[in-house]
Amino acid sequence: MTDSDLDRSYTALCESMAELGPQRTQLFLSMVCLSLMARHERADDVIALIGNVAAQCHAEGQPQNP
Amino acid sequence: MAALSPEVPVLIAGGGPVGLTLAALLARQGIRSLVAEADEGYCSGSRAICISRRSQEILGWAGAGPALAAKSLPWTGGRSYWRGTEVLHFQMPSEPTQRFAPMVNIQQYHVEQFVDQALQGVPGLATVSWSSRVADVRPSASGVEAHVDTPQGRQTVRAGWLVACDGGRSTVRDKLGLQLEGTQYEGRYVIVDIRQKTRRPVERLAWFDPPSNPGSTLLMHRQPDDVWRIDYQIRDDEDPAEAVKPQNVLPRVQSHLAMIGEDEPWEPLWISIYNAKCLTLPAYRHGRVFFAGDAAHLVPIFGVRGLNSGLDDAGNLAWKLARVIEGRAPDTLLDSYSVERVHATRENLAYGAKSTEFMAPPNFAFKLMREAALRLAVNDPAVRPLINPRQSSPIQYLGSPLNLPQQGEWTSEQAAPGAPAPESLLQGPGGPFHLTQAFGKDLLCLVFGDGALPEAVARLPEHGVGVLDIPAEADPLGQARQRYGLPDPGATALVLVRPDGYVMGRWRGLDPASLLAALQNHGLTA
Repeated sequence: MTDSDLDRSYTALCESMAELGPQRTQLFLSMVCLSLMARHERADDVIALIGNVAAQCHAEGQPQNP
Repeated sequence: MAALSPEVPVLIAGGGPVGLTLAALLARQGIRSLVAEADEGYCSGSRAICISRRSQEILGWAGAGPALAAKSLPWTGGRSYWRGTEVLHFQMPSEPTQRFAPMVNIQQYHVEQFVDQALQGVPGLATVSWSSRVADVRPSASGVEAHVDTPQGRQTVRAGWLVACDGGRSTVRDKLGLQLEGTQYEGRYVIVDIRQKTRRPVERLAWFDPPSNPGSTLLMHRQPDDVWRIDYQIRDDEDPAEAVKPQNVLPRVQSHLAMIGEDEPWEPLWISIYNAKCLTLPAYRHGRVFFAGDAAHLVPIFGVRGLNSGLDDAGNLAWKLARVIEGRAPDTLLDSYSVERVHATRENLAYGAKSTEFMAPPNFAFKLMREAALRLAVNDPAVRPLINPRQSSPIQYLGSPLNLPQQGEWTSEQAAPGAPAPESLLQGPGGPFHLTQAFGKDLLCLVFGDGALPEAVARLPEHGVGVLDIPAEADPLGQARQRYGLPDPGATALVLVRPDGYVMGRWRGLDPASLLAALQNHGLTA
């Protein structure tokens, strides 16, 4: 993906999410994630990516409640 | 009722489908056994329903084949629905040249009845004692003394070997101080059998969050005698004791039947409740005592491998136990029963766990992603495999001590040592027949030859190995050559198949010297 393609996709994701509202974020992102995963070539890449994201989240600790 | 035989080569604790089948398979090998079943007769209610292709083969060896084929309902596919929409329509791999349908449905009590009736054909070899509960066992290095409670009182039976087929709450397991290890899932399913006529074809049907039962998951399977089996998940906060009361069950059933347009009169036959379990003993052999079926392992219902793996246990054990009893194999052959079947259970549990993650999601993460998968599946075929229940197939015994090394070049791993020997439609002098019809009794050498049998091959029966010659003209569809991995029609090979229908070894060429040396190494004599 080029930089500008990434921009476009990012914006589309945010705008769709905002339109649906915070209550439906989890379901929306789950569906987008699963749909993209099902189209990715290699499971090993996906699983490694999941691991990296999980590690980063663990390192950051629990979010503070507003 | 006559007193129990005080001495018997094999005592089988538990006369459910696994225990009865084991007795039949032992009888086929000429080994006498006594089955002690605590109940007065066959099981009642709704238990196992789906009989896999491999189980149909094993039940055929037990003598129940024709009765099973006449009564059971074959099916090859199913549909899954999310809310009001069909999101999956699957077909199991099946082709007209197969001997059996991939799955047939029948009530467990029919299976027990058919095997029991077959046993009545071998009265000198198999005895079933009803209302006989194995209450205590005293194993020793040379045998097992069992105390059996019968209507005539407690009787003592001395057996060379004891096989515990006494189910999920096995007394034998308890008396030996053994525990199942593993986990259970929280999600509870109510099981209901009802009698109702239908015009629907026989398919596995699943609904996720149907309007008839919002938030629930519901399965339906057709059984003989106009019976529907219905499974539905109750909410996490529902009390199981309340959930099985008819006033809480029948309206949910009626609501669903109305939704799917099944409006013939119906009556309930059975209600019970279960939760999925992933449990096994770490070893299935303890000296002179073996464990098979639910006494050895409890697998989630969604993988459809409970009874099916129990029958595979019986198929694996019978020929080995027979050989050791007859002095035609060393005692160590029986260790391979535990190695192979524990391996199979671990594979079945992993597989069943995957099914259960979808059918009874164990935490918020699985729940969320299932919601995602079901919604996407409406329009996106790429995610539908996640909803597919992934049907049953027999496990390959990777790393088994019985697997002989392969020799030579092969173009398929389908028939590698440790794999279930593939089916093929062959042509014999009497007409077409299926290769697996030749399995189930002895060691068998399949010969992929190019003319007259070499003398060394023709003399294999002297070493206790049967011979099945499969010349090219007997293999007109080329299925055998293709599935057993021969690179071209002119290639030659020997494939050794075990009495339980698994490949033991294969060699290119037609010299049986390596085959015979391997059998000698394993102590498997004529």
